[in-house]
Amino acid sequence: MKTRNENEIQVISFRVGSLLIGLELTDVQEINRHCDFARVPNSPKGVRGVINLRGEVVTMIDLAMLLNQQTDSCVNTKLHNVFVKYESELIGLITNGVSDSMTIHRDSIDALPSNLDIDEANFFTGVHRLPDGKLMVLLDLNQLLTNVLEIGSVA
Amino acid sequence: MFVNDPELVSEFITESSEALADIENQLLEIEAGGADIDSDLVNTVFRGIHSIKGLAGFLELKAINELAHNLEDVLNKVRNLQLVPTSQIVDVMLRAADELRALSVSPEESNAADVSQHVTALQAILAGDTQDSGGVVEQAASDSQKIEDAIISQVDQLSELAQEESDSGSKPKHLEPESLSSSPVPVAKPQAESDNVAGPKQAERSPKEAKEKASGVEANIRVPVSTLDHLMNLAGELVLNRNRLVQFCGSNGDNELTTLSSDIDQITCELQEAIMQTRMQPIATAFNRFPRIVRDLSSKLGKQCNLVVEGRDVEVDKSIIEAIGDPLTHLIRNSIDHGIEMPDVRVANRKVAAGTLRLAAYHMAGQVCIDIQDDGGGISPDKIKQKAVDNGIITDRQAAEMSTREALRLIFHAGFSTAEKLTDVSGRGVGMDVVRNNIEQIGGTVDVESEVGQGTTIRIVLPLTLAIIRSLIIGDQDARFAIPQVNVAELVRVSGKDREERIQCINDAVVLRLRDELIPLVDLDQIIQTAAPLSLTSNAGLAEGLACFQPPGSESESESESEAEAEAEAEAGAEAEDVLIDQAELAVSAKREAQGISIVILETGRSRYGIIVNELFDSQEIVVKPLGVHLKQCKSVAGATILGDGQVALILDAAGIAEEANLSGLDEDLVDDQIALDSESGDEVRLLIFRNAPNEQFAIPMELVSRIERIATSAIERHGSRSVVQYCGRTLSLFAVEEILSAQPRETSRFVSVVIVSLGGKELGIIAPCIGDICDIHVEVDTESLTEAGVIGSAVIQSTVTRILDVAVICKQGSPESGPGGVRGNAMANGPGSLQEVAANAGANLKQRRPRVLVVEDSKFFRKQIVRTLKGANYETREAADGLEALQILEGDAGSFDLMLTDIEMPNMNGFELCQRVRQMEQFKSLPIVALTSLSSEEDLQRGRDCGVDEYQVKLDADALFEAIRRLIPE
Repeated sequence: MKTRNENEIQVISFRVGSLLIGLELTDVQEINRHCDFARVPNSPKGVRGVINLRGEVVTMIDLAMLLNQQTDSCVNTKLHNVFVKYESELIGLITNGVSDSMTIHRDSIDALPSNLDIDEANFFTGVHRLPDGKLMVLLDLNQLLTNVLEIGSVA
Repeated sequence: MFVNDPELVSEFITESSEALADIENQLLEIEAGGADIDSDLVNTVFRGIHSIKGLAGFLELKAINELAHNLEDVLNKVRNLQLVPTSQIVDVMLRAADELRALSVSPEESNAADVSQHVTALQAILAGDTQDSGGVVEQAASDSQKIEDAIISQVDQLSELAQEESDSGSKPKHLEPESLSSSPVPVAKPQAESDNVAGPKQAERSPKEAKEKASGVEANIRVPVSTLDHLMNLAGELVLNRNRLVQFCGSNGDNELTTLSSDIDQITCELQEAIMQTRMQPIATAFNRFPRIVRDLSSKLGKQCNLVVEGRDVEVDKSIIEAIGDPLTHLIRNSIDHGIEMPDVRVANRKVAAGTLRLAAYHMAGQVCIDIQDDGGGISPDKIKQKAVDNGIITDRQAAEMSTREALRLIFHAGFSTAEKLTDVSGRGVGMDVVRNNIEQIGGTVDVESEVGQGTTIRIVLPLTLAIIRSLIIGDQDARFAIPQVNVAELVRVSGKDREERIQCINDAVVLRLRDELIPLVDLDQIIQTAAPLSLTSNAGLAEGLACFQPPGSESESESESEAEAEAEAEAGAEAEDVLIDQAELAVSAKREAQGISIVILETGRSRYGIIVNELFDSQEIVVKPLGVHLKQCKSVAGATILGDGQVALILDAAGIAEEANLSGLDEDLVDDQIALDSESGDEVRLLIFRNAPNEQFAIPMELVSRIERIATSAIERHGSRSVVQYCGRTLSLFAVEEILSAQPRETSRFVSVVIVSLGGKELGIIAPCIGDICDIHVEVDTESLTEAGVIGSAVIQSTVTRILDVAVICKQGSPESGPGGVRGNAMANGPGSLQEVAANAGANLKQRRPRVLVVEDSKFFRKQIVRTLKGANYETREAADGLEALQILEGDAGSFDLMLTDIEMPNMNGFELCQRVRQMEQFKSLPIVALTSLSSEEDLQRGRDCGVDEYQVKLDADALFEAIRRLIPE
């Protein structure tokens, strides 16, 4: 087995609307395609509902909604749920399809462009240019999920 | 003497072993600290020993108590820096602790133990006698030599044992736990050895003691609750997968597989039950502390109070037992402090000097009830109201309109203290609102009933377990929700044609007219809609939501429902047209319209309201799962559960929804006004109207109706000439009107409504094919025109001639085995006017003077009925509409009555109070009193007897009434 370089990280990439987003593989617990969400009355913005993940009731976060992306995720057959841990709780992120897993060099991660919306910029740590020229933004998981919590407590 | 209560003893063992668990290390640490005392640590040890002392004292375990007491004294000196814990001192303490542990494992035998040696050593330390402690050290040294020897011999024994085990061919793995479990033996054994020095008697007992200690360790394992929760979760998952497996096998039909799956099915059920059981504890664990509290408190307050505890064996979840301890303690303190009067006051009020406090736990409808009942002074609603007004909780106007029940509930309001002066007993700033909050937090409810001079009952209703609750599953579009059964007061279905009449708007608030109450309504659609911003469905408002209801989903349950729906549709289809909706939707809406609306009436401690739901499923036990941190803000949901098909259903929080919908303001002001307008009722009778055939209308007095059920015609079985149906695990006799009366037969249909009436504790069902209305009407009952057995008379209701059924006669016809009364009932059925006939016969049996009977009954309808039958039987009567009027009559007309017939539920003064007052009047000490009632619980009956009622009779059962009258009036 290839020993991983300190300067390299493994990420999975997935689409949310028009965005290509990268998430560190070590954060990912599981990926599945459940889509029978149970809605929760008065839930904060960005919470789509809950699902039954082998007996555990898991909160599902709608990334498209949080990131202001247009998406028809209800009918999208490529829908993937990416499950992550947040303060020892399992949480699902709804994406429009996981596309790849790759190893990227830390040096190849650029700072975020300054013209990005300040709210959205909070959720990302940087940008990575893929070999085919596409841009992938790297998700700041904790920032994102904490933000959802804060929206909830304001509402 | 040793208190022989296994419950307490096992608690003692648990608690003392907890306190002693780490005492060696702690003592050793104290020793290591030397003069530099770690006061926290010493305190911990001190508290542990102190509590053992206390418990042992309570259980009268003298030896343990004495030993713990001395040990505590030494620790106290160490704590107060009066003693430096040298290694000699710690040595003595260690040995004392060892002895303490050995003794507390088998407290039953501990009193026979000789602890003098340890006590002397400890006292020597206390006396500061270091000289003597030298001796102790020597002793200790020789002891430790013995301990060493003992351990060596134990180890030898063990290795021998191990040898045997491996010789006998058992798996070597088995050895390890075996030798581990024996490891306590060497600890206890040396103790026994050193006791050997003290006396030979001790030595005889010691092996047994050691053995018991070992077995004690094996018999009980302390497991963290989280482990049990995890197990519970897994079992729940297993149930789901089993469901899928069973379903799969059912469709595939492989024989072997089916057998296998049914085995798994059974095992899973048992597994789930067993795991549930691990969390259950008898409620005695929570109750056991109360005898002491009651005793101490009542003597402190100079009161006399007996505590009666019932239902110790009722088992509830451990977490609930933990949670109710404090609220219960508070309620009990309250009862003694404010409820029970001083002995002299009680005697002056003709009560026994010692009050009785009843603490009873029992199961009711899948929940656990705890009653705290005192026979003290009761709570005066007027006083409460006054106080609430003074404290600014309610306004004068609200106070004036408030019912007694509502007024009593004010005691649970924050910032309310009923005590005239604050006492150190219950006035500690912890109000009843805290009690209520604590109970509501664990999904329970609390309510209060009280009668001035009679006492107060506080009833707590709790779920059996926090992890599993009984819930009603309701559906809305594609989602399903669970409502905890504890909050569900009733289910109401408003048919399409009644909709406009029963659901009305006051300003913007939608209310349901339910009997004489107006209940605010919340649309479930609306609660949920706000929740799903991404949802593709339109954001229908309440008005729209009311107009168009989704047809039932495709679930299997809906099959029977749509069947029922179709019937209602046919009947209500005509009325649906005048609803204001889009032309295009008219056809669809008319269909939906006809189905009516299902409303779940919810009750929380603070509010009562209805939720409009699209579909009702059954009620089931659900496993509560917590929601994630992101959903903590959602007040309207309390958690989630996973249904049998793997779908998640959210558990609705009744109090949260009320809060979100801002209901508390609504029901107070607007609705109260409306009720005030509506309730000009005075002398009315409430009747349930139904039709058998299209043009024949019947009515049953509502007072006798306990429930209405819808049952499938196919479920009705015929046995001989009787029809029965299986209902709630019992057999319920059914009567069709045409079987009893001359009436046209009902039309055949797949479902019928059955009116369940209860009469003197017995239930029977009357088939009512088409239920009409419940109405309060002034009826002039015509007893002449339509006379036949089973009919009281006729009346014109809603411009239709309606026959009012005589349930008592019908009941007797149905149960010929019920003795002579039943036979007569049959005879009566043969001829018209037989009721009067029988009554006349009864009258003829009496001597010439016409006996005088005072009839006290608030309902004019019933009063007239009774008076009529009495007059027919040659009795002279006087009528009174309530207790006050009756008292006035009695006072003005003393001595001339032979008997009093009284209702119980009456305005101004109820039957209980009337009886009590009558009995207090010298000339009426022996006046026979017969109470007429539909209340039939043993508690009510007993209460009546206590108040001086001689006999109970069911309303409208004329024969039994006459029998009683004849018995009671001396000839």
